[in-house]
Amino acid sequence: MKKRLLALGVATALGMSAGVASAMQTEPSGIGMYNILPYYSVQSGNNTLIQITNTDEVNGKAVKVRFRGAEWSDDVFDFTLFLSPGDVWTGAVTVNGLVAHMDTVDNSCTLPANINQDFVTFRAALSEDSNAATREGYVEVITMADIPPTVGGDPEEDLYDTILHHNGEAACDSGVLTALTEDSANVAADQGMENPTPALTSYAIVINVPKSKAFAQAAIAVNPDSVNNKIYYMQKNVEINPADLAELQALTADRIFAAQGAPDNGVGLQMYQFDLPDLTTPVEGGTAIAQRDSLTDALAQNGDAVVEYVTDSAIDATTDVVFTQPTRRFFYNYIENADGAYELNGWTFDIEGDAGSVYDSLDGVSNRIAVGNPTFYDREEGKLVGEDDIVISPTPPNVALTFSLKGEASVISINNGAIPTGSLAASLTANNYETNLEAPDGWAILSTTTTSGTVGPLPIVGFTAINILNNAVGAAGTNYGMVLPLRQREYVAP
Amino acid sequence: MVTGRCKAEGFCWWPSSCCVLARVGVLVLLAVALTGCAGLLGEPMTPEQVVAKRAQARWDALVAGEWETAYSFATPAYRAVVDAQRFQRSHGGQPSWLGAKVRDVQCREDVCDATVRLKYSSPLPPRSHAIETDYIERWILDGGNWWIYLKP
Repeated sequence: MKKRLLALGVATALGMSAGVASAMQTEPSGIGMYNILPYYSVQSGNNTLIQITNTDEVNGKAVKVRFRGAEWSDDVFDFTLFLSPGDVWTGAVTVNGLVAHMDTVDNSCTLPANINQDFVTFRAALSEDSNAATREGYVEVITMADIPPTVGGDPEEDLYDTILHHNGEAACDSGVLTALTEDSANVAADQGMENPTPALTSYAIVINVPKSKAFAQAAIAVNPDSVNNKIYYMQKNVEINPADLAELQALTADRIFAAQGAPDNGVGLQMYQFDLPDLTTPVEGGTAIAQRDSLTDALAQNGDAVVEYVTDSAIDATTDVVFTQPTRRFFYNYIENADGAYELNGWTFDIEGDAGSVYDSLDGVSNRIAVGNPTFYDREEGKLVGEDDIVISPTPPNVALTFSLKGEASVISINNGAIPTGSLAASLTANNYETNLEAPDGWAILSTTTTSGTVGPLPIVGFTAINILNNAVGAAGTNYGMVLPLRQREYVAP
Repeated sequence: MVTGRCKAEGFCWWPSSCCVLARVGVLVLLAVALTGCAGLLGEPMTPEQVVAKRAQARWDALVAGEWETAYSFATPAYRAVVDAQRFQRSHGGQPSWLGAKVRDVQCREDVCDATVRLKYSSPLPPRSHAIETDYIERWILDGGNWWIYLKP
């Protein structure tokens, strides 16, 4: 906790947190209780290699790792990871046939004990192709609890000892690990866990195996102002059945588990222990809605992204921009409609964003939300503003959505002609912006502000991926994969 | 000359007929290679079989660093605008491939998708771990043969 407070103090001193009035804060140090990796992909020869590090040299961590699909943030793979003090976990997201697959030989304890499995498709039912839905998305890493050497002054060695590495290996006693029960209200007082503290840092490399391209990204770290309770849930398909919406929202803001029909506007999907925690599961003692809004505010401080682009075909240069919205899913309402676009759990419905939120203009059928026009500059001060100057592929469904973000991990390529995109081979939620500027390189302002309904900045994490090929005659050929953060200007309300 | 070689290699019980049969065999094999026939009876190879064979040959060449050979499997349209050297350079030098095996081929009309299981060494620790992953590549029929589609 001291590390976090120190980091927040530094951030405040530097003016980095000015204007933030939120219980959840993005952490400039990159070390936090929550880590959000904006993008993973196994499309077109991509693999994604992930490393999660516990910088806490005293306490172990019980961590939830969840992969969410790019289209609807559906849970396509999750597991529980036990990191010992100072421990590192690595794994690779590969592809087995058509579906993403986890490949790790790491010695850290996990539940299930063997996570070398295909990703799961049963929660990706909103996608046209549930296999494809696993191949792109983003990753949330959530500290559920600390695992100290002692608990409450009494030696509580079973859990700590079994996750601790001895000569490079942890015992991972399945009897100890599977006996752990839900601990979200500090009712399971003494099973070797304490309230979580912020100490995780993560990064990922999207590597294209056939082409030898690579793009590394650091996770966005997020911390709450205070911690009231553990959020440990079992990695088991044990049902959770909240009595009503209020009970559900004491656990999560995800209405897909709420009752069908108004006023709950859910799908009635069965919730299990492994569905929790998510990013909204209260850790500060409030409701899931409050935590959702707080996290959304923390990620939505700016209304656009300044990005550089390089697309000179002479050096096979490509530029993609990733815009991931980690809290978008928690604003969905599943509205009954016999002619609706979606059917799930015996329920036919349309998807709408919460009224009064920045997602209230969400177009559920196309899975898009409109944002403002971009501005493109080339290196010679050539400038483009507006839809007449930019050809978008694939063509958006209507004029209002000309400039829009599709899905929850949206990728925009620049001057690539078509999708898949040039750097990341994104295709599920991708658009290409073809400019007619004379010079192929420059910079752009890409809006992340909604244009109708509740106008405001969207909660965004992401990066720009630029690849340049050294293809000079006589050279062996080298891909220079570069990743730049989204530079964001201060949001000014219209 | 032919007869002598034939005897020396011990192909046939009857030396006099050996070379005739061998030459017929060679011709049949050539025909198979050129026309996509699966067996001596002229049973045609399916597109799936042809693509599987060519995809495996291409990856064998890539893993061996035989870039000219690998390049020869690209579509004529690609080769018209990209030369072999640029093709090699576009792969970022010599990637850390350890092996490749064609697992499956699915075809429809003039298009096939070949699923290739690639093995490579991990750039993240533990580096001794060889990672395996599938890669789907598109093959198209052009001028009576199957070629890998590559974006120039």
